[in-house]
Amino acid sequence: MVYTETKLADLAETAQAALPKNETLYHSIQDAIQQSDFAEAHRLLLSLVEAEADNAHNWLLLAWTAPTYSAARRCFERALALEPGHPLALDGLSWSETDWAFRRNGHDPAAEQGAAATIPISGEPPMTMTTPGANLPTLETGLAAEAAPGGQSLPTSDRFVSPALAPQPLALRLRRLGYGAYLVLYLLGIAAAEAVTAWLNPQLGLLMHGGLLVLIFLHASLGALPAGQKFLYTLALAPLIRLMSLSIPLLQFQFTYWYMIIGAPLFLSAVIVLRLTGYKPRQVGLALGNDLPLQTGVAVTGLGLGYMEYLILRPQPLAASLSLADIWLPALILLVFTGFLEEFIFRGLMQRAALVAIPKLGPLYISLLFAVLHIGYRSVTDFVFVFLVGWFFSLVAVRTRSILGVSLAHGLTNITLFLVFPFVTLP
Amino acid sequence: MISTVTTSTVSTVTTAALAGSVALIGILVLLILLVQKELSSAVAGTRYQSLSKALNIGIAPLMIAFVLVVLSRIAEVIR
Repeated sequence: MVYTETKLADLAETAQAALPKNETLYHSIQDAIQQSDFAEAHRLLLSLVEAEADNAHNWLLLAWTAPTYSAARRCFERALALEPGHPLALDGLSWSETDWAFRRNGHDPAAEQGAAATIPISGEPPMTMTTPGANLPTLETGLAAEAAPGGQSLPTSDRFVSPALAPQPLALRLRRLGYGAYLVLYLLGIAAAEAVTAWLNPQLGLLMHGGLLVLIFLHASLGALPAGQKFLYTLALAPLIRLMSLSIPLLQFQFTYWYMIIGAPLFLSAVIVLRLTGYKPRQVGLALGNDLPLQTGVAVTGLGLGYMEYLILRPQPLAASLSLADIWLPALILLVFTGFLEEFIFRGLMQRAALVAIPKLGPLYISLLFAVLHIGYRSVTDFVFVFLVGWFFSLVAVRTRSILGVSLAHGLTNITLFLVFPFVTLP
Repeated sequence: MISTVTTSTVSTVTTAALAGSVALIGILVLLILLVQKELSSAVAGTRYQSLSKALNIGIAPLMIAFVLVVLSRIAEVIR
């Protein structure tokens, strides 16, 4: 039996079913495993094990993502102690170091025994397996384990040192640091392009968006690690939104249809991103999710949010009157091409990828980006309002694992903002 | 909360001269992406193939925008 990434992903699913808590963490772990980013998966699993130390599945996952054989053995032993006779744990303990290293990387040890001793770990420098401990990031299980070179004893402490914190090659550290810096620069670049478009010179702003789009594609494909690559694919949609909204000749069409004319090609792009990233629809919130009462409640908040934003922006109505005949089509267009589409892009695709690429800062980054794309309204109050609402939507999407509720809320916000409140006399 | 159509979008596209120049910028970006795709397709290696595929994210919608620009120009001439 070869324990490949698929097997690891299956184990992550099993562990997830057993423990509905920490759902976001499980999602991130699954993603990291699917992308062969074992170091990231292991780092996330360490947090999980600290919180849920009595789950054998977590220990098995930790074993298969461990950076060293001795660390893996200690994890297998812990899993076996929790569930005596567990076949996967027994299997793991029966392997030799070479078996473990080859199986972990999806190779057949029988066919490859005696082959090169350098095992490449995806996205990281090669790890030399013939000299255990030398030049390797280590998973230390407390002082007692450190004192036992064979690594055969059970850890006496639950405090672990993550391989992410252990000594790593300088190049890898710089690469990770560089990725975060690039993300900040992209956000600042998009904000600058939006500000230039809104206040200074739309042509220059659009050129900046075009430059950013080209840069993001180059970075994603030629320079990023797998987890970062997916996020950059989704990030490309941000400058593309502005390029599309300004370069399409909208004057030929009624204002009501503008959202559809811009939204339809963007939807095509979003589908291409979905295919490139390999996410399943449910992974980007295209499912009923859980906690339907909460989602219903969130959807209703759209009415209040629409009123609040109306007080900020006071826009002109999109329809001739408040009659059903006049508003049903614009309402449908707003619901689909702003509510659903924008939530699919921001809280679906972008947030999903961000939770893996930048786990702790993902929702914050996406909410900031969402707010930045509203700079065009030229209102600081609206910027802050949209940022807070975006953050609220992010948290709800993570909690419910669906964009249904937030899409309805977003759609209702826009419907009331542009079709209802402009007709209602307000103080 | 509409990030696709903002006040600046409205003010930009309702100015005919401005609308023409921003449409040209869209086409310029499309051309750059198409050249990139052609170059990356010609080079061997998974990363370049990956770039070639990723560029479709931008090429597909900008191509639609380009067709709309051409159609709107034709419509103007016919009128």
